[in-house]
Amino acid sequence: MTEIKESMELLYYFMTLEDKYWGLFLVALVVLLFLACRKRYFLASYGMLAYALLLCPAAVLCITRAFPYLESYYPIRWLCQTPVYICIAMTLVIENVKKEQDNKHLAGACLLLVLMLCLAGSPVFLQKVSDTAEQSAGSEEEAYSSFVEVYELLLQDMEKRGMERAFIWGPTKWMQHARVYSAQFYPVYGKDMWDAAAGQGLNASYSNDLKRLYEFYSMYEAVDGALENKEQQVEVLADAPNTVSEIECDYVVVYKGAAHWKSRGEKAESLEALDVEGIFKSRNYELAGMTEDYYVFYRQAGEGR
Amino acid sequence: MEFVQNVIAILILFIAPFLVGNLFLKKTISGTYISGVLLMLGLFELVSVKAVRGKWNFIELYHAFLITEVLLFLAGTACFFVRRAKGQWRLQVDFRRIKKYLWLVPAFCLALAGIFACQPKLESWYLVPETVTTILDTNSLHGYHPLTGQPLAVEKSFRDSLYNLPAFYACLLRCFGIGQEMLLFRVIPVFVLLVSFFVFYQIGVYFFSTSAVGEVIFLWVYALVLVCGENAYMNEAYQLLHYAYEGRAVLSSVLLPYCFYLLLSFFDEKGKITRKFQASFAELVLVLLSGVLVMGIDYGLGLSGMMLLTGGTAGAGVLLWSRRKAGKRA
Repeated sequence: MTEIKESMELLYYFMTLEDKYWGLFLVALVVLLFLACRKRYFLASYGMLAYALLLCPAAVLCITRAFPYLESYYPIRWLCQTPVYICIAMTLVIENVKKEQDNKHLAGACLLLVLMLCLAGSPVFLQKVSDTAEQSAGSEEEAYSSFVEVYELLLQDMEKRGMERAFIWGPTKWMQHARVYSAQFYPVYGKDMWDAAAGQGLNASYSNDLKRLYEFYSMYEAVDGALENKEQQVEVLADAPNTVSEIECDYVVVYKGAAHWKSRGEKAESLEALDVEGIFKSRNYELAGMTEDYYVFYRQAGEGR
Repeated sequence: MEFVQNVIAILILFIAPFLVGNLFLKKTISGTYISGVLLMLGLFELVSVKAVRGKWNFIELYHAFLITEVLLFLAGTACFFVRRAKGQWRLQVDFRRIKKYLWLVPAFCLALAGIFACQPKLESWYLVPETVTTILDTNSLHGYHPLTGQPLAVEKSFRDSLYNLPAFYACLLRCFGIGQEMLLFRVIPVFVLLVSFFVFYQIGVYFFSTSAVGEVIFLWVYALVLVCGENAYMNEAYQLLHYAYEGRAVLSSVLLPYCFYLLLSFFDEKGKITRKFQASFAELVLVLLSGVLVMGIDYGLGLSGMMLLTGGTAGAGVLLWSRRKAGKRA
């Protein structure tokens, strides 16, 4: 009984997750059963079998238990071929209304079907502006252009210093895009620390260093983080590359100014007095440049390197 | 000059599958085009498997890619002209058909607008752009980590090395000399959308061939499903709008629907296995190979295989049921 309840809860979770296209899929199956001709027997039987094996509560329960990650369930749903079923069912409905030779009903049916589709999902033309934690700019395109400014600045500085490649450390999203932009950038980690570590056969001390850097930047990026104020967090960040022995770090990129933190709802009182440049310079960093949103610091050779 | 280079590259990229597809001797443009795409992808996977086993570097793979594709292209073009000379490819001007197909253009444009309305997602789930950059920079297929650029301490397993879509893109980039952003975020999405429309056109024709405009309505509904179901997790087609350069969009919007179509075409009106079973077998193998190329063994081969298994079971059930029913009638 508990298992059935559990599986129903899981299915309910999937049903309410993002959309109602699962409902359209089931409606399409029913339409196919009623309007089926010989050609569509296979279609209806495959749909029902795929639903029974992959999407019904018991199947969902089995699949999610058999595989360690829930994510493995998501590609399996592709086997149901939802768009094919929805398209065939809707075309069948329109074709049947069309046979009646009634233009009023036809227009009404078409409108109803378009409305059903729009309400089931969310039209791409009305997409919401992405609002990731790292982005100070509004849309993804704006954020990317602000990233590009920093990449360009870095490349210029590297050329000035005669560097062919540089180990970089900065905001997660910015680092993630760095290698898409240029192969001269060697981010400390990429999409996240685990992705960077996967398959590299890292030794324990390298792994610990990686974890430490990841945690320091996550703490700095978090609003109202564990440390008392932003100044303390920036100090920890500036010291971090000196505390790791296995990982190189040539450039550190940090957010600029109090406006960025305020726009993200940071309430720390010391924001106005935050002197990022001063903190980094006092720790043997050189200001390589700045953009509207970021500071770029070069870690000079010397103590700690 | 760069613009001209881009235009030439795009033209070759879009025309090549049609010419290559002529090797399958199909009668429709859509069928020929899809077969050409599958043959190009499937053969590249075979070459890249050889490259992985032989521990080739990228340049060696690129040369093998060039030789294979040029040979395919020449064979396909020769086949096209022979077929034209024999009168098998005739350009008939049928205004009723042209009028019908013109209705498809706005549907395609609607889906295309959906792609361009979306900001290209740089956050690739399977690290495609990063891997392409790394391959081009290091001349190594699997020796470096795509995110950090660092050499891998542990060699990738053979199983992991079968996912070679980034190597395919790297070959295209080197071959045509166009920018990575242009290829991945602009050209590939349009190309994948076109192939996806051809696949759905085939399915539409299969079901609504007796109706006057059935396949046109079918493709219009597909375009609407595509643009109306953003972030709809059951609508796998929407991934085409955001992540067309990733293997998962190719698998979910092109390969699996085509696999589905091939399964459908095995059965005739009476539920009996048709002659197409033998003809489509080669294509089925190519679908599986392409699946491995774009998503690796786990998802590419695994999902296509599961689809064949489910479809085969359902098809066998229908066949038995229709025969038993026919026996009772007799």
